[in-house]
Amino acid sequence: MLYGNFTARQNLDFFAKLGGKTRLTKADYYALLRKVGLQDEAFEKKLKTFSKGMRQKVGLAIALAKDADNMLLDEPTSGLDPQAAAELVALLKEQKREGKAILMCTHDIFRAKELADEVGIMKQGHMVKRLTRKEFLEEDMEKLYLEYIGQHDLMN
Amino acid sequence: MIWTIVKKEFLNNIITPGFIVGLALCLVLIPYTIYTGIRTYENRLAQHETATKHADDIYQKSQVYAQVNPLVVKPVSPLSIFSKGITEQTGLCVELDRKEKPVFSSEIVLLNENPFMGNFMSLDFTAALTILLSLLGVLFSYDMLSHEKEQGTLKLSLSNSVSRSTFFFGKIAGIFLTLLPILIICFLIIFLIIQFTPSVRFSASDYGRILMLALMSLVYFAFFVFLGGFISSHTKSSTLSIIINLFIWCFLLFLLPNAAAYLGKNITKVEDYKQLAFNTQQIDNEFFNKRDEIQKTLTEEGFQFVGYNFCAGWDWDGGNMILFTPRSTMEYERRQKEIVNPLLLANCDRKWVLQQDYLQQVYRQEKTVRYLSCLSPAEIFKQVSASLCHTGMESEVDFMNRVRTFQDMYYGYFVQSGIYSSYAYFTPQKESEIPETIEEGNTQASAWRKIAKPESTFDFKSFGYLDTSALPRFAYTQPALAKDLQSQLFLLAGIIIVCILLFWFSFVSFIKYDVR
Repeated sequence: MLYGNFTARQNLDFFAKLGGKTRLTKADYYALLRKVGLQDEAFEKKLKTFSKGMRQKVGLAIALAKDADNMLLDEPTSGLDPQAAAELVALLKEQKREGKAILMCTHDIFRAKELADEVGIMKQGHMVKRLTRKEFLEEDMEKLYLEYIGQHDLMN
Repeated sequence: MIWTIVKKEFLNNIITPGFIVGLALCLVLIPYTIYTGIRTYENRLAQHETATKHADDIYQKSQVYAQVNPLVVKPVSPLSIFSKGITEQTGLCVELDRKEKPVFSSEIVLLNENPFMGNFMSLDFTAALTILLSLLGVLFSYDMLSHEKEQGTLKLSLSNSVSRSTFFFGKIAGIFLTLLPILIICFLIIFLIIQFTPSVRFSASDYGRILMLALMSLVYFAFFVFLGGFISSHTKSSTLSIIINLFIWCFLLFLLPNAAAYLGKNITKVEDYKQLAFNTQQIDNEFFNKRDEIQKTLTEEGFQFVGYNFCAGWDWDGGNMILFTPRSTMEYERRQKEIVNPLLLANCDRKWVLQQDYLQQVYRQEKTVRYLSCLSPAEIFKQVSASLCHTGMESEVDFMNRVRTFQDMYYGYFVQSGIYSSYAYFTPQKESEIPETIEEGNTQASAWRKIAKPESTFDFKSFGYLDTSALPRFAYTQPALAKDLQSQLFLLAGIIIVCILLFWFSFVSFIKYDVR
């Protein structure tokens, strides 16, 4: 999703400017990268040397830099180690608290349960079930999910 | 917004292996080609000086008009360091001869030149640029869109409020900006090399031509950038894009020009030069018959040829320089030259009709090959560059046309001013000094040898040199830039139109490009 030959800061700078944020300084970029949990020594390193988790963090920093009210996230936790995934979810929770709307597609039911106000189950491009937070907290999400995608036999 | 994209594209390109390899190749090839270009230019300049001195000697050290057959020397342009054009196939000099009009210029072959070296590849600045610019154009643009799509950055970029046209123009401008450091470094090297080479000095007009060459280079580079952009917008992977791009690059640079030359030679045939030589020989034979009749008539009219006491050189109208020879032979010679030379000029015109026909065939063949090879931008670039550097075919044709016009004027002057009817045409002796008999001639020669003490049999310095100040002199000025551009207008317009079309197609393809 990002330019491998550019550093984390250069990627952030380019996409922030494309998003209309032209007055951000180097210090602002560093602050954003710190906010998403990237280590300081990685700020000026080329992205092609980054792990997937580090790249996801830079991607998220871009979303934060734009200060968008709505965020669309496609499998943000895939390929992340448990610690990186936990850090990401913590950051998303913070965004949620700040009033940002997040639409995230994921296969990670537990993270979805942890973060979402509302969950929709998709099958072959169609939403087959929509649950509010209250509803899915009362249900066994994993079972529900397998039922809807037609693999409930596995459960038995 | 556009500047952000331009800057990103520039920074992204200058760290690619394509840029580094391109820059390294430029740093090696450009100084090398300029250096060899300068050496070749200096060599030709030395040949030019030798030939010019020889040409001046013909005017200054001739003793009879029959010896003054001017040597016309083509000026050597310092711009030839950039493009050799057809200079290796043509010569610097043309020796005028009233018997025949020159078809091509001839070369002064230096003794230290090895003819077998022609078998090895020789690269000039323009040829190097033809390969480098097109290669860089392809390398910078082949993944212009496909790579962005592959790594997902296109989707992310276009999810912002940036328009597709701004993004496209930014990327194109970024690619052109990437070429800038290479161009700056190359021109700086050229400038430095030229600064330390006193033999190469450019005029204001030359600088205008260099500027045109630089602009033409940009148009040529643009062609390959737009071509790469077009292919990139029609392919989903960079690998496929580079394969197609390199195939087209090889086709346009190497295959097409060679195929065009082969096809052109087969479509437009040129008659065998031996056939032309045979036909002109027939006309010469008719002339010899007429001359024999003239000689017969002269004898019948009472002109008596009693032999020469001294004659240096021989031509179709008799002796070239005759000395100490009896009056009757001298009068016979004078009368023969008076009648034969206009006939010789008419004979030359008759042969010229055949030669002109042959030349037209040669020009037609060249035109066919040129128009066929114009399907390749590399050939257009080479031809326009050669034309700008005075080394193209137009330059040679223009020079030879002016030489032939001068030849008509020069020998026409001989007829109009009665030089062919004068004794001065073939003897340095005054009319009053011409001996009446062979014996008197012999006595005159012995007396002259005692007084003049000649260094050799052909040393007649003591008779003095001819005053040739009234004779026409050849002066050649290279065609103006506008004239050269006029002749290349068709090619220039062609490549610019193709560039605009390619740009438009790649732009439209990008606007419709599926980024998913």
